Amino acid sequence: MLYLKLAWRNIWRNKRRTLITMASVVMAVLLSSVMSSMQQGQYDQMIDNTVGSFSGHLQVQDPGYFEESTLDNSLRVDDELLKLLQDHPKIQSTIPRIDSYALAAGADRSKAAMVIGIDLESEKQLSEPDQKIINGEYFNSNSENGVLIAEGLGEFLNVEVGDTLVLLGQGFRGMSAAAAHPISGIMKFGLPEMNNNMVYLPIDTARDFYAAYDRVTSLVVLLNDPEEVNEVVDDLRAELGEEYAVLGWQTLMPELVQAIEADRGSAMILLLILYMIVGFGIFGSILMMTAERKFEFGVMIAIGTARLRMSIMLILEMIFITFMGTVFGMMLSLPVMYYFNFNPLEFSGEAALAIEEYGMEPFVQFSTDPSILIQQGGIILIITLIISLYPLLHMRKLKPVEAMRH
Amino acid sequence: MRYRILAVLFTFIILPISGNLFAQDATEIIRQMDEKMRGESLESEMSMTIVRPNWERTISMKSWVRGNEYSLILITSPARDEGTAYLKRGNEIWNWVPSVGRTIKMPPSMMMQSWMGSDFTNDDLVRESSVVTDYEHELVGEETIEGRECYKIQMTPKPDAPVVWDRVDVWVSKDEYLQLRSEFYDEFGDLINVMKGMNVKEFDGRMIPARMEMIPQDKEGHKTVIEYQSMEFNESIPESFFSVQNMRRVQ
Amino acid sequence: MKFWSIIKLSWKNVWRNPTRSSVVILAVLLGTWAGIFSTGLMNGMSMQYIKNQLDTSVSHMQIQHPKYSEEFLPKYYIPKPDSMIQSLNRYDFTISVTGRSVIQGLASSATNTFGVTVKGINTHTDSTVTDLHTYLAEGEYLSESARNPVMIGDNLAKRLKLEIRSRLVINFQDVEGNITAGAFRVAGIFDTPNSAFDESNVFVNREDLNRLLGRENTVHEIAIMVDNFKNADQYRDSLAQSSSMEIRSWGDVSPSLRYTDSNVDFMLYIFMTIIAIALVFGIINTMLMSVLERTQELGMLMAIGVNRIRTFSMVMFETFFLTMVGVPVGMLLSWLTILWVGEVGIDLSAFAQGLEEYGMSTIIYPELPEGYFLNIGLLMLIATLLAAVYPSIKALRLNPVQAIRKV
Repeated sequence: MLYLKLAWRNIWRNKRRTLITMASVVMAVLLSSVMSSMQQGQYDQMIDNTVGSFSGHLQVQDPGYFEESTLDNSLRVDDELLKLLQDHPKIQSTIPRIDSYALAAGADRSKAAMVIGIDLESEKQLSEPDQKIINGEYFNSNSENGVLIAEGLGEFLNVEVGDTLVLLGQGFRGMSAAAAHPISGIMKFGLPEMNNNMVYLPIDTARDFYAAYDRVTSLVVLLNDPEEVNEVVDDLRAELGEEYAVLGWQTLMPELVQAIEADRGSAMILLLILYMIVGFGIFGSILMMTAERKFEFGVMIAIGTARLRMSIMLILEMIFITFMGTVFGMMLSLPVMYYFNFNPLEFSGEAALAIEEYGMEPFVQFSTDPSILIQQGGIILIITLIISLYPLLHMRKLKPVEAMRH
Repeated sequence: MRYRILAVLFTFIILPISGNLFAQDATEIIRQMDEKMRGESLESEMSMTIVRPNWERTISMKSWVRGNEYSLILITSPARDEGTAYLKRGNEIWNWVPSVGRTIKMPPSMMMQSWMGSDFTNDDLVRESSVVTDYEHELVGEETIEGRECYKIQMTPKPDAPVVWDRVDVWVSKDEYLQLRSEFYDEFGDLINVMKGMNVKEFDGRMIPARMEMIPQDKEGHKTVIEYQSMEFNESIPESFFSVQNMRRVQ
Repeated sequence: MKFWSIIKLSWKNVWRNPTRSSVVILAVLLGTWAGIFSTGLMNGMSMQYIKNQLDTSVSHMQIQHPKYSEEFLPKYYIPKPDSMIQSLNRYDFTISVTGRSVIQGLASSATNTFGVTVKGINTHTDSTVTDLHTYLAEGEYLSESARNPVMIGDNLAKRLKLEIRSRLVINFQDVEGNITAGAFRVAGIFDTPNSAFDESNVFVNREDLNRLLGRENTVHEIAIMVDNFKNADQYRDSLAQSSSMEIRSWGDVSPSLRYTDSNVDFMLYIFMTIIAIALVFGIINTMLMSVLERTQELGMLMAIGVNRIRTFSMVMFETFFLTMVGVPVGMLLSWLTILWVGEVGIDLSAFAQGLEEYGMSTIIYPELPEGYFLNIGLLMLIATLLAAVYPSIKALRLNPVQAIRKV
């Protein structure tokens, strides 16, 4: 206790020196947290863009559907299953979908299209078709006689709102699927592949079209907390048994995981480089501090203070400074992260256009995940503590006479 | 990969007229077998049953064929599909769907869709292959199938022939030149598909296997079965019968 | 004291405390090095990714019939391709040009079928436009003497269970719209870092494909490599004036590559800012300590009548000298590192298994255009000088009397 008190008093004896050293630690934590939060924010954005709008956090499917995505491997939905999903405390919503390919034809041209049956209310949380309509209007009921078509496909087929769209394909178990519906609205998607391919039908109309009554190809599940995907997947697997496949978005969209993995590699190197620079900044401060205190150390040794005692003291001092620096750094990082979360960095000019064309948002939104703070704070703490060994080593070699002569 | 099988299957649908044959060599046997389907008109009623591990479904249809250029297929059941018609004119397939009142020409992208949910694709309907000119033939033995004496002929595709098989073994009956069994092998010598002709019956004065089964070997429980209810040969069907307009009216 | 003596004094100060000076020099050096090296690394990574894609599949510019990219029908070929290729070759910026017939077809083996893009290539000119031949894993490149050879990717080979010399049947529409089929023999199997490409692209001789298409000298796509792919948009515009064909730059062909390109520039800019802040802060800290440590000495200077501007200048010059050592050495060092690592490469496989599937190679070769060295060096110089301002001002605020009294 005595040591603690002494050390605490010691660091405040020279306020500015302590503050400058602490400031370098604060800055290190701040910069690495902000950078990490930017990187994490980008991944979250990528995940949000695709997962939040298309695949959902997880899906419940027929066990054969993932390997062979055909209507024959669709899933019968009963109230029991829906209730089980709806009552799960971690599940925010369950969105039924039935999708397959069919031939879409206008008056004189036709093209293979992805024809998806959607639940008009819950789909608003997923692909937000109501927000994507640029002409006409959204569905009013799940059994409506109407269809939404993507802009690019509509242009190719030369159809407009009010025209009839003919759909021809194959339904459940080889039954023929044929339907003609008036176009209720035209949707604009960011991704060209989607903009040239998508047709939405109200879900009951789609089931009728595919002769797949009470069926879905997948139940898309959104969670309250996206981080809990794996737990909920395990949970549902245990509850639902072999009859159902429960797949997390990581399984559903391996390309996305790969894209993020690929980025993490370079991000890691950038972080390492940043650690090196901030680490050196801290080292500089500590080095200067040690140099300044050479005289003081010399005197103390000369008057017979045990080196061990001094070492313990010095360690405690360093730990105080480092901990305070880390904590302040973390406290300071949080508002910065939140600031850039609410005011994302925006791309400008051509870059913004290119990114929007690709269907991504032209800004970088920072993550506010508190675990970033803890992780980065921890890393800087360890780096600083390692650097703090320097004054200890220095002191062990210190020759009192030389030191005082300075 | 399945179109070869269909080509052979359609050999039955379209084909067979018996004839005298004294030729001995393998190519001649195959040519005789093949010739039966050429240049003839045929009106038939048949059913196709698609068998899958968990379900099966039967489609009934009527078909009109003129040579191998023109054919028209009308679905008569199940009720959901009744009246749907497929017209083949040369390399094109047209589809008439009464429930939407539209005639649609199959675009290339849809040609590979399975036809009516069977093991055949739309593309299989239009493709032509020649068991005579695309293969080298060799008589490798004689066996009895369905109680009939058969030539066993091994067919190997010629280098440029668009054939995926490494080898096709065909059993042709000595008496009527009926194709009673075919086995399709890949390059590694694995048997991929077996096609069987069974239940030989007399239709309009000719002996024909009334039941055909196509059994993919790599998919357990999968099978497509075609059965003929009636066949009428040599009813000369005019070319004008195979028109888009007529497709909507035909019954 | 004359101004010149202030500069001399600063120079002496630098050498009076070698520890402190070396800390500042090292900080500046490291900052400069890290800034340039990481830019080179990021730039190398994205350029590598983009170039890989351009070299193996996209090329720098593509010319097609305006309707071709809409429907992919073989009847939308380029009229008079030979004269077009000839005139393209006359442009200064053109490095190489090749014409291909391209069809969407269905590849079948006995075990499976898969939809593919079939490119009929002229082996002589195509190997100057793409580097596909460098990715051959098995077998050999297409030869003209062989009958209907085909080159496929390893992923397609796996999917269709094909080996060298295996039969591959491809079904497609000919120029008349009739469905036709051809049998090909697998001559080579390539394995590029892009598995999606390997799965869905096969290459055959153009003559072979055109024979099946039923029209000699059919070309659907002219691929062009230019001197600098960054200028592709500009070249496209200049070509577009004299042609009715659809000319697309790599960015038009692949918006995702354009996205990668734009995104990386932006990210680099943010990262540079963060590095600069870190560097500035490190320098402020060290210089501040050094100023405050010399309270007495500075006070004395002021007491003997050195005016404020000169005191300020002295500290600024000190920093300037330190920076002038740090920045150039840092630049030199980063140049050497980039040169060296650019040869050897950094293996990222430990960090990211996903890299290859994403179309990237796991070994990154940093690269940086010369212009960047100067820009970043300049940025570091300005950053460090800015960083010196605060400690210098702090030096001015010292009260001479107090300062001397203090010790």
